[in-house]
Amino acid sequence: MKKLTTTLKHIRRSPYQSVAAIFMTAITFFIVSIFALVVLGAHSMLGYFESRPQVTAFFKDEATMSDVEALKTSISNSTSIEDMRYISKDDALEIYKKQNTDNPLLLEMVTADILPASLEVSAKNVSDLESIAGVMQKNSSVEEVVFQKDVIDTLRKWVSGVRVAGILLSSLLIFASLTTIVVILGIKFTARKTEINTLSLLGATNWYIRGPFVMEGMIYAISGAILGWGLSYLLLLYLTPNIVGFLQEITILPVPLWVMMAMLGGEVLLATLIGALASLIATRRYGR
Amino acid sequence: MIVFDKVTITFGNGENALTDVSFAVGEGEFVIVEGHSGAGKTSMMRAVIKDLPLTSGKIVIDGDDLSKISSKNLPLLRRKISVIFQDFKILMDRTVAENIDLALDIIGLEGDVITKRRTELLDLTGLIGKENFFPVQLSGGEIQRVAIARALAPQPKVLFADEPTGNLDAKTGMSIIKLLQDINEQGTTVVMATHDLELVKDLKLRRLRLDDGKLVHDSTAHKHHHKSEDEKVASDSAQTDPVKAGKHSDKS
Repeated sequence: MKKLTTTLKHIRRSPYQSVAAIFMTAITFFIVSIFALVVLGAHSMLGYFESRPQVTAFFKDEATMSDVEALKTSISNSTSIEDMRYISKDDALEIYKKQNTDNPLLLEMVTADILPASLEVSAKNVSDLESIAGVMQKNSSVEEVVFQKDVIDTLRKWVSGVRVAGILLSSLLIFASLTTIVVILGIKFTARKTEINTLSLLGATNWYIRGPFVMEGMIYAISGAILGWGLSYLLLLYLTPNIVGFLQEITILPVPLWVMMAMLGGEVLLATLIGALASLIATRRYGR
Repeated sequence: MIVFDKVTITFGNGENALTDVSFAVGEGEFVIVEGHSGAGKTSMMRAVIKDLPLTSGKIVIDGDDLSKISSKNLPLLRRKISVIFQDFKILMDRTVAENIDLALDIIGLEGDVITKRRTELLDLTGLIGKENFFPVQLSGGEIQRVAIARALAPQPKVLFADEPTGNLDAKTGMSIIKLLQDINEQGTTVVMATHDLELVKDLKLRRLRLDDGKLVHDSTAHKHHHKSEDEKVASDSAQTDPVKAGKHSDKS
């Protein structure tokens, strides 16, 4: 408690340096949070695509129910599937209506006749998609096969790219935060050299002298982390309605509170490590 | 209590701060180390708290060979041996009470115990009523008293006072010496360094004289040399016990 009081006094005595350290750390954790959210969202999207019908066969208008059943049987016999669902022309119209309830003009122009019936098949493994698509394409009653493997592959590449870019940028910013705290605490430590020397001559232990500096570094980093996380959460809440409208039936938002709290926990832990490491580096000369 | 055994301290430029200095101070003694500026008094003080490394020789304090004390255990040594520094080393941005509390906090005391001990120290050093003053609001003598109070905070076995009367007028200087004598009477071994030979000339205390880093005079040894046979017998018996030697010289 005494150390915390001393630490807070140190912070109060040089507010601009403290603000600079917290600001830099807040930017770092804001970017870290944004990347974490983007990667989490992209993973959820990937999961969505992987769990949804990945191959859809659109039937010709003249296709009969026996043609559909024959296709179903041949698919079931050839590959292990997760789910298979036939969507008739009427079902397709219902889906279309649901998706366009706010646009009556579009609803008036479309009837069940112009929408094709389809068979949506989701595989247990993404690797099975090609063989399912092959069986569908060979069937004469099938007009077109929409194959989502390419979409998933592209998305995977994007997720991987975002993750790498996020890790690189976050690492750079974490290094910048670490350096900022090291420099600021180093300046403060040097400025208090006389006092530190006196404390040492009075019999103060290494930890008695370095403790408040270590605590100061951790306070900077943790404050920055909470601030950065808070800003990213506010931005997320602000953008949620727009993103939900854009993603439509892909329901990855709103992000559950426990996810945000877990992220905060992780960031506070990381900040504690950054703050402690930075202050130990800044005061290492005394520790020798 | 304190043993200097052929202690030599050489600075980087090759100049000797202390050369082959040997002496022993018994528990409870009050010893004056006198010598002109640059004689090596401050180096001696710094050496006993391991603030200055020895080039050769050995210092033993309360049975501990300083060369064997690790940096981890150095704080414990510095709580056992307090130094009143020539430049006071008082923290100017803290009040009298805060300066004293700092030393008490370092040794791990808390709350009411700190307040009680601080009051005792303020009372002992005559600073009651000045606890909330900042050093700039105090006279030279009062600052010196703050330094003494802070040095006494950890209840050290040995108190080194480096030029405690250095910047003070004769009257204030004598009051500081009187205070150190009171502290010594309570059982603390006191070693006081001074260049002010005039101020201490009437004090009947053991004196070590340093000149250009060399111990050139030890009044105990000097007295022994000139004493009558009867006194010599009595003195010799005390000399075998450094504690008795110290007490004897104090009261002679």
